[in-house]
Amino acid sequence: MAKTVTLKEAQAAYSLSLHKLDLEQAPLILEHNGEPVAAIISIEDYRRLVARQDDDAWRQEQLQRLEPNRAAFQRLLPELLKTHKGQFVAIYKGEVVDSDSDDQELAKRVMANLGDELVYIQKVEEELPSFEVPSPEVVIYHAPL
Amino acid sequence: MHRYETRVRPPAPFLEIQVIHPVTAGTRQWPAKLDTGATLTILPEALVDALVLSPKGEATIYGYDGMATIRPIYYVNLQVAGYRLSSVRVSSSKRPDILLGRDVLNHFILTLNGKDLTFELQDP
Repeated sequence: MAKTVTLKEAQAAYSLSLHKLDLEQAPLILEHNGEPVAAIISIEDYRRLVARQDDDAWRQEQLQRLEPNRAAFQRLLPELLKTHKGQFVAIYKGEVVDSDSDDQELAKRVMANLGDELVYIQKVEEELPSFEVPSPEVVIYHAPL
Repeated sequence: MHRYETRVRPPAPFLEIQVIHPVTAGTRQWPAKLDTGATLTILPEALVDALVLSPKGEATIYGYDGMATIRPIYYVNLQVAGYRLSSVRVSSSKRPDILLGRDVLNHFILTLNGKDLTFELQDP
């Protein structure tokens, strides 16, 4: 349960008693004029938050590189579901340039032909393929190996 | 015969593997944790950056808490225990080591001896 400290004046100097163990249990909420204005969290929670934000920004930047071929795939999907359902297709410069039932063979061929050009390889299905990776995704405390 | 990595708690089966860019042939050696729970191999974001890999697709990845995240897909060549696997589909995460998933481990005979903290990874 988070504790709340009410700040009577935002500019005033306050003396707060911070206990590491308490902060590990719950954040300390600072309130002013009846509104929560800030939270003090443990340094571990802060590092976890920063790591998550870094990861999200990095991931979005990588996914952004898939455009516009990703958008082309979405545009072509209704037709591809009739002609290539269950197959993997490679989209380059907005067009299907190759297809295969095995994405790894397709990727090999595409990279042999186009080098490291930005190509979108995807299975022709209504939904994205999914995988399970039960190990925690964001690990920030880890023995250096 | 390989030894478990004892600097992690509890000790876990780790291998140094080589990850190779399929076009530039740029190569990095990196520690990989053998993860039979993962259906897909995961590279650290730092390794993706170091190899300058280009994303080639995307997939939904479900974490240990069932939370779904859309992540980029890459294709790389791997050198694992002396065996080369080409054009392996992988994803990425902000973690220090590689997770070697069942997509790769199922190419091998893997024998874990937790009591002795040793394991064997052999090609049939």
